[in-house]
Amino acid sequence: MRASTAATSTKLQPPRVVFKNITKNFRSKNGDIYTALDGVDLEVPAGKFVAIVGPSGCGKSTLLRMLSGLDRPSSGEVMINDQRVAGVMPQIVGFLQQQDTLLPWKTVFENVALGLRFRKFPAEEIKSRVEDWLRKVNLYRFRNHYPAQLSGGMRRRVAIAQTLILDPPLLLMDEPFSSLDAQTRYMMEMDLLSLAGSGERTIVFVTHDLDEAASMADTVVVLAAGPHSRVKAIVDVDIERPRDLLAIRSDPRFGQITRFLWDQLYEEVNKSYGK
Amino acid sequence: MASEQVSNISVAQKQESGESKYLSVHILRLGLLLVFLALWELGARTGFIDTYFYSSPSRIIETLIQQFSSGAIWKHLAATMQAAIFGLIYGFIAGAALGWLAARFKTLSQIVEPVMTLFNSVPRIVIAPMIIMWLGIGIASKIAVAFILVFVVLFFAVYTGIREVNKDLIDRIRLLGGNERDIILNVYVPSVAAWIFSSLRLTVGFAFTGGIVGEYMASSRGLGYMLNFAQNSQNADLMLSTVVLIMAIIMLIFALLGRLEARALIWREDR
Repeated sequence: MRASTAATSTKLQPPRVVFKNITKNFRSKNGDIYTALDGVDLEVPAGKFVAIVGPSGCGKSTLLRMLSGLDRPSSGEVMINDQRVAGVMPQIVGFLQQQDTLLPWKTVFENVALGLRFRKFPAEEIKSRVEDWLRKVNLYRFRNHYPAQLSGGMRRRVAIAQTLILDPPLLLMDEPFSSLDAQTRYMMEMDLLSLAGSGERTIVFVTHDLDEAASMADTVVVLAAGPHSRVKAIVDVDIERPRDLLAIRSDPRFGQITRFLWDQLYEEVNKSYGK
Repeated sequence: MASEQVSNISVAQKQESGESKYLSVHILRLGLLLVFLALWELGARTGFIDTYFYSSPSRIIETLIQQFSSGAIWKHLAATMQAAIFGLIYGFIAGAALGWLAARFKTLSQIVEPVMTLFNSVPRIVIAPMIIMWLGIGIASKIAVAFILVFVVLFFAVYTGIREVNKDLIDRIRLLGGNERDIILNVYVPSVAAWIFSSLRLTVGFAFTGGIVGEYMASSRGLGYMLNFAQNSQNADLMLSTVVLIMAIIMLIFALLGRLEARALIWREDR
């Protein structure tokens, strides 16, 4: 009981995120050093939704991993609310990873319940919250199935419920919808859009889909091609919320923004192919 | 959702056709076995097959009935069971413990792993004569042979289960707010259990192999001893009936273990 009241009463404010002069080197097997990121500076204001786009291999996912505390920069600092990120911060950060990370030996229900169980929520409350979320992602009927029995899109929705049920003030998403079919993807994007507009959480979102980035985010950041990737452009999407995913596509401003983003990205994609 | 219904239907269909295929394979197997036994019996009755060397299905059954009705078989069965079960228990505990310690302490793994790998790559049964020389012809040497075989399998099941654990899952537990205990309970334990369960049949098979080989080499009781006795007295009926009995026991145990494994690893299957 105590834990749950504590969790509701201390609803955390959305944090501000700063990347300061981030460099990330990877050492390959033969000892060569590959510098993926080289001097990345980026700020995500509290309560804003920032999408990061860039050619494959530019280090977008690495940036998210560093923010989640799973990885560390080779130099530079990642700060959340002026506090240096030194490890995972489950109370603040929710991370929807790109790869499939459900526990294969736990049912859908148990997987979604994990975070609440770690926080020692009472069993009845876990049950009602998890069932709510399972209905929300349309998986209630599958609550007793194991991940191996689900399609890729269904597993993704379990992961989404597992992350969002904890209501993290900072939400990181690494290509969260790329494995979903078009309809489900549209529905999930709409849901995320409604979460985003409130300003109650800070969201950093990595995608390769420019339309998705521009239609959902407040700001789109374009990363240059790696190695030595840096921030190439920062574009504010000055289109009012609430947004409608379908209507926005016919908005002339949306057209201008995606066109600009595409030009920026096109140069980088060409660069990475040129080598 | 429409897509879910569709996928459900296709899963159901797959299951149905899978079951009927399974059944027909079973019938085919049984048929082939019966044909083989009938030809054997026929050959033996017409004198085409020398029963002195090759026995016959009816003679094997007769011998088995006689063994059980005279009660002579029980002490041998008990001896083999005892050797296998104790070898299994001790080997299980010791192998699992060493596997866990080696996965936990790097120095220990550097010492132990090469030895165990060597042990795993040579036919371990070559150690049996040595053990019999040291421990004598009593039950201890049989338990020890079964122990050695089981020990190595369990060591690798636990050691690999811990070492090859999916690191992404550990990250995931941390991200969701789990502590070290949560990681052990939710990732390591199920991961190791999966390795143990999937090598359970191998392990139990080895326990019987160890016990029976030990008995065969030097003993005065046990199914292995009966094989040895039958060989020395050129008694094909006794020899083959013992082989059939051993096979029947192992198959029964494997069927039970198969159920247990399917139950424990239900999450691996596509329903």
